[in-house]
Amino acid sequence: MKDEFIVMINEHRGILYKICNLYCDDEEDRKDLFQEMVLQLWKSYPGFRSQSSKSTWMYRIALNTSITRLRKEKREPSRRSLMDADFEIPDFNPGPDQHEELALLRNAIDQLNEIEKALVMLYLEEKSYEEISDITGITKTNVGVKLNRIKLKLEKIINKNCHVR
Amino acid sequence: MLDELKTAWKTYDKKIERSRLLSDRLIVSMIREKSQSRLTRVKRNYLMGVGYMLFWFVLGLIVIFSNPFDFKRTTEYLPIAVYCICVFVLGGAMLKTTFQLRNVKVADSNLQEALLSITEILKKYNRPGKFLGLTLKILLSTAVLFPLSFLQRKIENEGLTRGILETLLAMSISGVLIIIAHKAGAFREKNSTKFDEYQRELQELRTLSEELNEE
Repeated sequence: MKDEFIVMINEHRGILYKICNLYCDDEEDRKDLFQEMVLQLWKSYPGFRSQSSKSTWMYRIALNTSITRLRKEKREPSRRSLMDADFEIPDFNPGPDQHEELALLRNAIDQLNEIEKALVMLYLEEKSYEEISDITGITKTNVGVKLNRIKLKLEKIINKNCHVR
Repeated sequence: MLDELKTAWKTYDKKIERSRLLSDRLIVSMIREKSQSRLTRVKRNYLMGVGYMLFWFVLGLIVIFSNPFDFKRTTEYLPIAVYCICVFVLGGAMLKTTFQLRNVKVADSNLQEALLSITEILKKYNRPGKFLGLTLKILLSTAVLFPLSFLQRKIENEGLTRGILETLLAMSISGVLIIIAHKAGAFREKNSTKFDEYQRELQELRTLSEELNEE
C-alpha cells in the first residue's frame, strides 16, 4: 500500500504544489503545508474506494487541510533539516524564458480570499462544475454563480495591475 | 484575459512536470511525522486533559482511602469527596469528547462539511458548557473549603474562637493563593492564552463557511 501511495503522490504532486503556492507566502510554510497534506492523504488512503477520481479525492483532502489547518504552528527543527535537503516546491514565479502572465496571475490570485482561491484553482484546472461541487460542497448552480463573480473580480484586478504597469 | 491566464497556468503545469520526483524516503518521513492539524491539536489537548484529571482523581482517592489527615467523621471527608466528584465529572466529560472526536474525519469530507465540523469542534472547545464551568468553579471552591474538614477537630482541641479563626485563616490563605495564581495568569495560561487566538480562527472559519453557503 505504501508503494502505491508513493507512486500516487508523485503522479499528482502538481496538485499539492499548486495548493501550497496558492495558500502560503513563504517557502517554509509551503513545505509545512505539503507535509501535512501528504500526512492527511496517507491517513485517508485506506478509506479511498475509487468512488471519485484520485485527483478529485486529493483536491478535497488537500484543500480541506490547507483551509482548516493551524497557521501559526512552527515546524520542528528535526523535520526542517530533512525537508530542506531533499525537497523543493516549484514556485509560480516565471523564469527568464517564461510568460510574464504567470506572475500577473499569481498577483491577482493573491488578492482573493481562501474560498475564491480554491474555486479559481479548480476552474483553471478545468474541473467540471460537478467535480467542483463534489470537492467544495457548493451546489452546481452556485458554483457557476460564484465562478462568474470571481472571474469578474480577477479581471478587474488584472486590468488594474496592467494599468499600473 | 482569463483564457490567456489559463495558458499561463499550463506553463506552470509544465514547470511541475519537469520538477524532480519526490524520494520514497522523503514521503515515508512525511507520513511518520505528527500531524499539526487543528483537529489533531484539539484531540491531543483533550487526551492530555483526561490524563491530568485522572492523576488528580487518583490522588483524591488515595487521600480518601489512606486517610493521611486522620479523619474520624464522615463530614470531614466531604470537601475531598466533592473534589473527587468534580474531577471525575470534568475528566469524564473530556473522555466523552475525546471518543466523539475520534469519529470525526474532516479530511474525507467536502470543504463545506469540513468547515462546519471544525467550527463546531472549536466552538465546543472554546466554550465548555455551563455545567462544566460550574463544576470547575466547585472544584476551585473545594480547595478553599478543604480546611473545613478540620474545623470540628480544631474546635474540640482548641476551643470555638481559636478553632474558627485558624480555619478561616487557612481558608483565606487558599483563597489568596488562588487569587494570586489567577492574577498572575495561571488559569489564563492554560485556558485563555490560546482562547483569543482560537476565537479569531473560529470566526475566520465561520466566515469561510458562510462564504461557501452564500448564494
